[in-house]
Amino acid sequence: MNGIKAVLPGKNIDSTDPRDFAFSSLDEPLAVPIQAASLSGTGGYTFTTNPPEPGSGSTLIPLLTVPHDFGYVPASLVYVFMDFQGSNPTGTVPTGSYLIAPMPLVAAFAYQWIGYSVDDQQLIIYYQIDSGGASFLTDVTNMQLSFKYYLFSTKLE
Amino acid sequence: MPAGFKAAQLGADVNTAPDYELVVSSEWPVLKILTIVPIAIPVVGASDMLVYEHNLGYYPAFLAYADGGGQNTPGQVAITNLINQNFYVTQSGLFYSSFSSPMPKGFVIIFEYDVVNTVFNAPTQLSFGTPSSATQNTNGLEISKSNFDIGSTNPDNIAFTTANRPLQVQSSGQINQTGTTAIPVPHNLGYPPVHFLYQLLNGNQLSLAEYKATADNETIYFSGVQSILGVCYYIILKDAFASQALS
Repeated sequence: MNGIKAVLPGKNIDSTDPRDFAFSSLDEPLAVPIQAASLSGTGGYTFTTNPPEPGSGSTLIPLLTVPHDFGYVPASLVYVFMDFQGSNPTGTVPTGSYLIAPMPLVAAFAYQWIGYSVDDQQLIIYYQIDSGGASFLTDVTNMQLSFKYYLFSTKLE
Repeated sequence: MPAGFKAAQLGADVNTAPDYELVVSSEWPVLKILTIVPIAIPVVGASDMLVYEHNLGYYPAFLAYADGGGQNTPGQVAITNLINQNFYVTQSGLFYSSFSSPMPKGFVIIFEYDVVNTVFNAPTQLSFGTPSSATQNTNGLEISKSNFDIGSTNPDNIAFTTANRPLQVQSSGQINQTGTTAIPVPHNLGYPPVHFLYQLLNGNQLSLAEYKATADNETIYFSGVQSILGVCYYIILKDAFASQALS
């Protein structure tokens, strides 16, 4: 079988341990980002006042729609940066610090979420507000959101 | 200089380009996909369910996607914190927690990356800067998947290309948050990078952590969202959050 592979520094090219390779074309396909971008400022979404408080029922607010033409549902990742001022039970978040919504994607402050979905035509990032409960973050002001999304070549379905 | 190869972005000299102008380097491991496991769990059992036996002998990185999960409608796939925390890996298998809701349809990507035992720091000397567009190289290297034509226009048929920057690892290692103070991890990339954080629970169950992170140009600070993290393992990637569009 033809292909190429490259070992990490200090490893042997003849190794049989996949962990020793920076990459190998003989492995299952790499998750190559075909379409990715960072969106902020005019391309992002900014709350200039307090975000909505939890209300009754669940509300979805679409923030951003990214069309794609892959023709299938691709693997994906989305990160969100939140720049805001507010407080929560464990301390104050100062203005200018970035909260990197970790996990592919969900920045949660109880009952309020940033989520996303992908189908065979588009990626949609949305703000989700669930009903009930106290907000994990309080007194949030001037929340600015920006995103980084990846649509990978890898086909999920 | 060790043997290997690297590819620079269009317009950059590969011999002198700093890291942020490189598309790929064999000194930086990529997240190689071992397999994609289809998920179909219409009913949750009384005990944790073995979904897939990987038998790797280590804890691999993974990402879980749910079709129609949360607020998504069927046909729409997404990762969420909760969905990923429904799954964990051991050194032999992928499991679905008995405390989770059914997941009629989903996918889990398992990577060939040893999360717990890989302590890695990219050896390349870094120069500060922000990655810019990595695309539209007219020259470069492209490798198709086995049995697919290199001329295919279907991106899923391509195993590797220097036209775009794959996810490559800057560093990985362990942290242990025992109090509420956020744990700093230097990265020295010159920009806030994207990353993953995995949490080891019950001594042998690795799942994606529920965490928050703040970052500046030199350091990421990890902390729990609603509880102290304990022992976690980070993977910091080369990509910047604020890089320009790839395409």
